[in-house]
Amino acid sequence: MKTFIMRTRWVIGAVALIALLVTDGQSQNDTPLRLNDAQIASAAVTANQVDVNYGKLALKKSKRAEVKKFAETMIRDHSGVIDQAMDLAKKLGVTPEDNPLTQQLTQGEEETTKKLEGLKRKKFDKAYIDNEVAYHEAVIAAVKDILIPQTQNEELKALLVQVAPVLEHHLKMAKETQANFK
Amino acid sequence: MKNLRLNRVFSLILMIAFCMACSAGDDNLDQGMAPDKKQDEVEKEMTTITIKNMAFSPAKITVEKGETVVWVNEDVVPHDVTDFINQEWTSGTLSTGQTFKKVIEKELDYFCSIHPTMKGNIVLKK
Ligand SMILES: [Cu+2]
Repeated sequence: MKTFIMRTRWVIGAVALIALLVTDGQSQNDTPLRLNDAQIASAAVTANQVDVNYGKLALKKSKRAEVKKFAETMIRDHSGVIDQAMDLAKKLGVTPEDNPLTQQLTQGEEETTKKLEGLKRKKFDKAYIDNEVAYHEAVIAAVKDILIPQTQNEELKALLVQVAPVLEHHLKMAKETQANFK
Repeated sequence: MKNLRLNRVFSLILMIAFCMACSAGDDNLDQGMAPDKKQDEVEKEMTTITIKNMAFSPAKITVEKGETVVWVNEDVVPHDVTDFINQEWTSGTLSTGQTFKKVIEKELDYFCSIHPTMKGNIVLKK
């Protein structure tokens, strides 16, 4: 029961993140989230860094081979995206700029990490994978609905467009791993 | 060791292409060729397979026996090119921008061991 509640909490967290991102002025928050390219670069790098960090935690805590392999892929792929994004930002002379989305991502990471760290190995494995499913769903929504449409620079937009299939692939992998836990 | 040889073949092809370009019609191609290479070996074209958007493109190609295939990772994440049947050979991890070359001697089924849904296939021209 406790696990169920915790899991539900994460899912709610992820859904809240998506809601925050796609809100179009109908909620009490009247200004939809508008980001410039420097802020988009910051959010993109942070979104990837968060999943690298989850992966590192999983390598530390998990003993299950398929979980470790998944975590290694997350670290490798998301680090690759960060390298590409930083190279491009440097080339364009853009300095990533803090913004509400980056803050939301960082805050979400802090809360989730705290929860994951407190779990015993077996519960951790499942919770980590569940979170990976929810997190990738949230980030896919953010990339497709906010970041890509709002990006002005064509090269930055192209990079984000290329990141989408990577995220989709990770989501599929996470769901497959998740299915093995049931 | 193998890579070194491939590199040599590659630079040879470049050299010959260059010689051909500046001495079109001239029949002294032999000068640009290492003595241990057969002419037909170096004249064969290279086929490029692009790795992009989490896929090999084209995923299926037909080449002549002995042809060199080069994979170029143009994606935003690292990939590899690995023998699908029993992982007999692999490119190792290819970061963005890196390439891998292989001389094709037989039909191959390959995949990316990092992202196992990415698959490719090379068949030989009959
Ligand atoms: Cu791959």
